[in-house]
Amino acid sequence: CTKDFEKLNTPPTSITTIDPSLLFSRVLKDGTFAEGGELPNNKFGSWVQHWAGAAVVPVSRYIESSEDLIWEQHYSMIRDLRQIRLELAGKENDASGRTKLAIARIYEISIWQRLTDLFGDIPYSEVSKDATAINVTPAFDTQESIYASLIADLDAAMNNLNDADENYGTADFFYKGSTAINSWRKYANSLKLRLGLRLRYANPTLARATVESAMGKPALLFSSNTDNAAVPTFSDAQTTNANPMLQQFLTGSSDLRYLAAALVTKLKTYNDPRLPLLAQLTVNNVNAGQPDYVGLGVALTDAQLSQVIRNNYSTASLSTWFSRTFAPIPAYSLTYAEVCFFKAEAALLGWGAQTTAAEGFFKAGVAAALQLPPYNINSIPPAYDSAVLSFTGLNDAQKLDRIMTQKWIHLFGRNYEAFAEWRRNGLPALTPGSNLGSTNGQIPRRAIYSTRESQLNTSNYNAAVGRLSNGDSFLSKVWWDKR
Amino acid sequence: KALAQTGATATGVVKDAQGVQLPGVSVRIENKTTKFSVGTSTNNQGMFSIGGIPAGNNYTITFTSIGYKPKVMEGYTISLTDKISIAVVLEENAAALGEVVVTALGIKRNKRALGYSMAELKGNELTQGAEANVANTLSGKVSGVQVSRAASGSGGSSKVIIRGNNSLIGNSQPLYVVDGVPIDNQNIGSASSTGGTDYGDGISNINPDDIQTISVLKGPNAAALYGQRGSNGVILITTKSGAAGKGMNIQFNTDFSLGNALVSPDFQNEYAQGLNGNFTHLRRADGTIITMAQAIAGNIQGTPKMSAGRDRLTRSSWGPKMEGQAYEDQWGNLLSLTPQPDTYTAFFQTEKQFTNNISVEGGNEKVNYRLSYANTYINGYVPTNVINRNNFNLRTQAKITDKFNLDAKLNYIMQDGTNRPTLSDASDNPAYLLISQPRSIPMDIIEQYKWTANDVAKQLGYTNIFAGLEKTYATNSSTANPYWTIRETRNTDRRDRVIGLLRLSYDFAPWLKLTATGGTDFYTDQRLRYRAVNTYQSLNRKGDMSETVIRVREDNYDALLNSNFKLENGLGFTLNVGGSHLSRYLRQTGNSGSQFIVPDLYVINNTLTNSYIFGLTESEINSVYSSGQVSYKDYLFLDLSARNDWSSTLSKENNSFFYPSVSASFIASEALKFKSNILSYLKLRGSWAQAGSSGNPYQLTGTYSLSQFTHGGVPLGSFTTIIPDKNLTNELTTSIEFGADLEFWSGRAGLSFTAYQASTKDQILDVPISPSSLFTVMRINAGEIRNRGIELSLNATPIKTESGFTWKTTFNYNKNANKVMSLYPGVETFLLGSDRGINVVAEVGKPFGQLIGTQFAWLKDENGNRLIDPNTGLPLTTTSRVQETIGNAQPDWLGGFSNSFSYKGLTLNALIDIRQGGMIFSQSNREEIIYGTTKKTLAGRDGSYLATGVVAVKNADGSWSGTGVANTKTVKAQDYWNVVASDKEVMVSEEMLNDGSYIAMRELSLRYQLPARFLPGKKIRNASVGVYGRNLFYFQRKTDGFSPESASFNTSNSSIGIESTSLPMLRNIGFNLSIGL
Repeated sequence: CTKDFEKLNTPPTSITTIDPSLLFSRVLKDGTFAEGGELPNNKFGSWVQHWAGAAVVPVSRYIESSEDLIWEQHYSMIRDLRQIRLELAGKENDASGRTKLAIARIYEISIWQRLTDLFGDIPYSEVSKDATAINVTPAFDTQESIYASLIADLDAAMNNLNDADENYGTADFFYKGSTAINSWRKYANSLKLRLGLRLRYANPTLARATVESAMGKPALLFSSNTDNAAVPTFSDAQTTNANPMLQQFLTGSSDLRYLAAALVTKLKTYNDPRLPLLAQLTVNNVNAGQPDYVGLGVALTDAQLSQVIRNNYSTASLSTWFSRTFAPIPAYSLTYAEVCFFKAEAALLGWGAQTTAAEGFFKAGVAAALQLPPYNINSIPPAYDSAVLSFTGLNDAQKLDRIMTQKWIHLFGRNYEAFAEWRRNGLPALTPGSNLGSTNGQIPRRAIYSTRESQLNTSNYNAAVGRLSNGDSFLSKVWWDKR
Repeated sequence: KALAQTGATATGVVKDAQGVQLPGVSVRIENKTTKFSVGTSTNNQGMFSIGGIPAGNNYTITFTSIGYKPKVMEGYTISLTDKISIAVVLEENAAALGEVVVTALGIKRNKRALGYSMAELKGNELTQGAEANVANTLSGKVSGVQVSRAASGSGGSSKVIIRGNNSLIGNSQPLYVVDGVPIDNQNIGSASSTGGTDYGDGISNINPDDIQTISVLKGPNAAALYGQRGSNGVILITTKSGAAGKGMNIQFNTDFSLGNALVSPDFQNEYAQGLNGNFTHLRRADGTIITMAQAIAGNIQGTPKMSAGRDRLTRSSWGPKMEGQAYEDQWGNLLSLTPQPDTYTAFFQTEKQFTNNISVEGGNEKVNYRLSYANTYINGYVPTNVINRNNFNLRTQAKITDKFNLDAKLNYIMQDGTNRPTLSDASDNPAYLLISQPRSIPMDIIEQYKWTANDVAKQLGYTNIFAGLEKTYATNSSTANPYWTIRETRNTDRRDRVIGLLRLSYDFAPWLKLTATGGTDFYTDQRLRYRAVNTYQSLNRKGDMSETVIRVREDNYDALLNSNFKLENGLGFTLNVGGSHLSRYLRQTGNSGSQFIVPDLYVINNTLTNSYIFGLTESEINSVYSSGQVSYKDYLFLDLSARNDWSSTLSKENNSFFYPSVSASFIASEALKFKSNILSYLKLRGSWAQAGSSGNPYQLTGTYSLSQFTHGGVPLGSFTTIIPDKNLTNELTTSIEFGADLEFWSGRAGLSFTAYQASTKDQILDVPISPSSLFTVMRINAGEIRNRGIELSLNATPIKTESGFTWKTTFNYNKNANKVMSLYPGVETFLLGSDRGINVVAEVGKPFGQLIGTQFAWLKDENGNRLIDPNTGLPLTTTSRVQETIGNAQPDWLGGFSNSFSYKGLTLNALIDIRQGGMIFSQSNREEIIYGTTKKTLAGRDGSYLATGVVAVKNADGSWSGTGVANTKTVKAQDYWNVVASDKEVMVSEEMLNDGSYIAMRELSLRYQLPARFLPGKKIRNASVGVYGRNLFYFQRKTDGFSPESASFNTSNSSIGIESTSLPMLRNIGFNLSIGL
């Protein structure tokens, strides 16, 4: 009478093997959406002074707190990517598996880069291969060694992309259609450019070699906005399908919708055509008949916060980012504009391009950035071009400042990348808020490891923390952060 | 046949004074003249039959049973055609502990034969306090039993733990068995730390008036025969059945009670909304609003103005003293600033509970019946919360032939709930809102719960508001208006439940009987909740709804062959052999949707976006078991049992597991023929038992699941976060106990003592692993939890006079030492639950339920004094979060002290319920500190607050040391409490800790049984009236603003030791009337 037990104990709502495309779709969506939304905006986004933050997110006021969710979320994305390997096991040299595995690996490298950029040393090389070989206490690798490995792996994965192989088809949010595999080749090479430049001050030799290798295949770098890696969003479906910024508006706190003074002031100073499409006029200025955009200070003290009248400040635009009726804005993972800004920076260094090419790359990047939704501005206004884009008469430091400032504006809503790029070059220069927090008033330089990791992988955690200059705190710097 | 025709037949039924049929009573019919003598014993229904009695005079019928006074009926004259039927009531022999109790598998046994401790409560001991949930009636009455109730108001669930927690992931609650058949006691969809509603548990559906007795079988010793679910102990409930031979009896009971908060937050009524002793803003004469800082700096005049916000900087009660001054609130109302001491009483209401019960019973020696109907109607403490429960119960027992018996029961429960409150940290929990609401806001302002155009124009601090929207005092996504919640949102639930059983038994011979039982318990829950359009914190402010149907079914079938025989030399044997099948099923389907398209239409197709709800779990267990007893001369007993289970939740290789038990008892007083009147009875007992357990379904394989929503039609999948183990095996609880029962002065005083140890090994655990393993938990067999303890029960009848005055007293005590012996190599702690700054863990070497603060800690010197910053006068805390053990949730000991005084028809009962030790972390205390709403935040608001501690000095390396000099620098109370707690995740954890000790006046009841001479004629058989109070007051309580025994938001392990803006426990005063016709 126990013969039906096995059938009875088979889970009714799940399965034991799956088409790996479903895993890939989920990781692409989650990985891309994770960069934006209420909490990343008001943590890293407020450190780089895009968003004002508030008392309800103590991290925005430089009060230390561990990033448990981000840590767990990214490792679980790695898990699903590695399950793809398990599901495609035996097909590594086969048209039905080879390229799919390479694509999964390329995206995995993007996730690893984000994670190490945020935390520094992380468990990497000893992490479980898949569910059949689990290591519950992997050692933390140094960021230096992780970068070297990611760059090498990226080359290997690119070599395994074969145009004739099967791809993920419509499950691939970034690139579907007949040219998908070549688009991944471009994504990989553009990612390589990003990996290389991140090491600019930490390991100039490897940085230069990597950048020059990527620049050496210009056809395999993004060449227009159609190459962008983006996940479509849907404003009229479930909240989870909406752009993370819209999700923030729909489900988040009304206190966390305000923009930072630094961003609003910069856009106003530049007379930036994106300003009215990015920010909302303040309620009280409109009521008083003097429409204006005003940003709120970041990391305010209790005394300052208690006096804030929020109607005096600008939220993100209620007719673009915070609108359900505006055409859905895709969530971006890597854009042509970013690639242009990296190329411009590489050119300034003479890495793979002449220094004279820098301005062209830079302006192409700005033009591409303006074109993207929700701005949809198809040409650079001449006044803007001459006033804030021209390199004429500038030294290299000033040119780099212009590049990084434009990248900073472009990366609005892409908080991990914005925070990494700001730390790397220290540009644009930002003045910390007045709350002392845990950092004695300095802008944090990294995120704090997960509590669960520290408790459950303690000796490896301790070894990694021992390598940090200020322990597991906001003020320790990751390896490549030399500015 | 020839014999039968030549003899008369005597049949009958034997019961005790409470009407319980007594099995195993020796019945002997004798004729001294003819030397005729035939004996038999009553069956499980208390019935007997003796045939072939020759005609004659002067027959004597004798009834004897251990624990009862023998009954001799003399002088019967029998003729050959007689069919004598006799109904006998045996009186308890006060001198013996030898009462008959219901034990595992419904077998009634003499208590003296048991080798383990068990407790029994009679129906009238249970209904004195008219608790709607039967589980609550156990509180304080049985040693080793801890009852705590969810802080969820009427109709909520309760947690019963017998001899300590023994399971890390399962619940440690006992199995409930009603009339021999297990019932479902799930609490489906209970509240979590972030809200939710308690829809009640399974046991709360049972009508207390139908209960005859409750037996508590503690631990697996007593419960080995109920299998794995009995490893936490078993609560056996026997319901009433009809009485034979009394004609038709009608009993009517009515009960009415009123309930109000026993403990509510200790609100302050001196300081208003604001900060730093002042208002935050000012409206100038020209209508513009400026900050108070600007007003002071510029000496600008105007009307002080409140602002809404979402944190303590705007919505707290650290403002000006309330002295009747004019001000404008956040909505633009011009008011005078006066204290509002009655926020709680203005919103909540007196709970009214009506219980009406009618039963009809009767029968003859062949068949009896009992039909009852009960209605419980509760108009709850939270306005609009109504629980209406109807119980229909039909029980019939029939003797189809002399040998073939039938017992059938059908219990139909129809329960409707309306607006059960939301609990814990959720916007629609009224207690959550009121605890932090500024102390200056009048409730009549809050009661105007929709924004008007005028409010919108004059408000300060809100964004995106419009007329008609729910009006809240703050802007948090977690604030709601409680009046909106009770009037514009709704949740209703309906349960239709059938509990039925059919039991057939056949007596092959007086010593051999076969019983087959089929029992079913199935119910359907239909739940609907909606929040109307314009609910402040619904998606897009468009409202939302969900509707679910949950079907639960549990079927139990068992067959038991029972034989017993006695040998002339005093040896007796009993052997039971049986098999059972259990199947469980739960299926949940439903829809949830948000953003209504048109208002006031609460159907799923009126929502803009919607999604499904689905769940299904099924499992089965097959078992065979055997138990036997050897007895010698009614003073030496040896019991053995063995059981093998096959569970569907384990793999084919591991799904079969075996567990035995053995127990023995020795009645020394009987064996050694004690002559002493001081120690009149002495029994020694001991037992050893095991019980296996096989965990939940679907835990063996790692699986992929699909996300609920596609992304633009593209499906999304992910792998499980649990590392599965297909080789899981059963858990095993092993328990051992020893004890003694003593009686003194022929039963005037008694003492029962038990020492026990139980350990549960190889628990099926989800052990947390580092996130970098790529998984969350690893499912393994690991860990051992040990409970060791002693139980003591004392009872005495200090006074018993000839005039009829009796005083009975009982004291019980249980000290349980719980210890987590091991978890998994390398794993020292196991997270049971976590809620905003507090983790509840099982830690190796420590008792279950360690409370770990995950926030900040005071800096202290070596003597434990806090270090005070000499510059600020404020205590110093760690600069980063620390993990700090701040206490343990387990009580040190539990006790109960009960006294009963009776004189003629008047009975006064008093029950004192005691718990000592066990800490509770209070989220309410944190809210009260952040927002300055309670009295403890009053002292020193003017700057005279002196933080206790010693002055600190800063060392060269930046650390601090104490100087030993007491701090004298005073500060503003607000600044001090702001260090203690400034936000939900920024606090000094230890300051939220409460000692959960209490001594409570649990029950006090006075009952008067009207003497027969007052009853009109013969129409009214009996009548009684009573008054009672439940949860009347505390002799001792150490918690700040809440009841320690009703603090948690659910009954699972995840909320042990956590209080979270709980609804107050109620003090009930009631009246009841009972009439028998």
